[in-house]
Amino acid sequence: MEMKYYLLLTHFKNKSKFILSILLLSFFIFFVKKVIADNDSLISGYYFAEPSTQKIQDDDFINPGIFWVEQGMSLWNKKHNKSELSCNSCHGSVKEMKGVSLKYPMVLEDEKKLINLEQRINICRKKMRLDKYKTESKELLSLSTLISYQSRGLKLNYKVTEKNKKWYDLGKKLYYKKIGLMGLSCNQCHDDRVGYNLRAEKISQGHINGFPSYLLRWSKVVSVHKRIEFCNEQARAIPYEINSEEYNALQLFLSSRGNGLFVESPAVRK
Amino acid sequence: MNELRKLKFKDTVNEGELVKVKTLAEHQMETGVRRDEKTGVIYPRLIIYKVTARYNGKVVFKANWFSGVSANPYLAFYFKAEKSGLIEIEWEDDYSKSTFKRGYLKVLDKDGNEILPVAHTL
Repeated sequence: MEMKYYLLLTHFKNKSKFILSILLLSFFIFFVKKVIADNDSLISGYYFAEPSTQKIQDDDFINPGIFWVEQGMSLWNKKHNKSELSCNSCHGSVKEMKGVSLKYPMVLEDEKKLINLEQRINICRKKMRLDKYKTESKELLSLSTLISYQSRGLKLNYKVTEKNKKWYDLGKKLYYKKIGLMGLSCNQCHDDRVGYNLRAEKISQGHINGFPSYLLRWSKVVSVHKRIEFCNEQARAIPYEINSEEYNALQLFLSSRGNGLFVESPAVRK
Repeated sequence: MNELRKLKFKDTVNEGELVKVKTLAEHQMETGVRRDEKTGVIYPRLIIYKVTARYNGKVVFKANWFSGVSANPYLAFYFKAEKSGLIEIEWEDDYSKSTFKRGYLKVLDKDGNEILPVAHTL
């Protein structure tokens, strides 16, 4: 049976009511369209995850990434036997580290080198005359997760200046470079095919606002470099080393690419 | 580093109300089928195989787990509380190493007075 649309008019006995509702509806549609258009350019990986995964991230009690934060908290205040120093004795309370993680990767001016947060922690360890933490070890990641957790809710605003322009260009070059057996580049998936399925998963925009994040596939917290390494393995390419210059440059490019997104770490992803 | 345990529930409830108890344990939950990539040696199984919840010393919830449970397992259950008392959760390891987490639950009657677990008269 066909619907007679003109009959809808008769439902509105009061004409002004009808006009008002039409006006409200048009305004509503206009604003919704605007909101979608604004968010269209930048979407966090949170919205590509399944609802069950999103629920884990929403509740801090269930989120296993918070374990890393709490372990990092005990490491922060732990005094070491040799030097009688802890992170607390120089830097003070952890809450003062708010916004620090947004500045990384950072350029070391005397060595002309780009370093990330994990490398900075190991430099601090060297100053305290202690052994370095191993890459991707639990101690290192729990400290870096703790520091990133402090700037949760802040917006990413990584500034590209003359100092780090060199590495920004390198990162951009790596992002558009075709690699591996299949000849894939990052932008082919994360720019052109966003929202499509890759096997059983939705392709995200590849932002790194949630890192270090808890990955359900390995059931542990990992750094950005480990995740990019895994991405390279999936494209059947030979990955670079973790903490190498190339990955730091790529991390720099990715964080400036996601400027405007909120920091979510420790996020939960598949 | 010590493994952490978490326990959460409502502080005060009314008499006969269902209480939701949420727990989270930090554990690697090694299944016993994984191999080392280089040497090929199998990692021995190390999981939490039993979780017991006691209320005032009485078992209210019990679960036997096998190697399919994920790492950092989350567990939630409901039980009915008639009196105030102590909630105790026990996680038992493959090496028979137990870890505990305890908390006190307050149960109020209609007038808002606490119902104590042991009746006492002066």
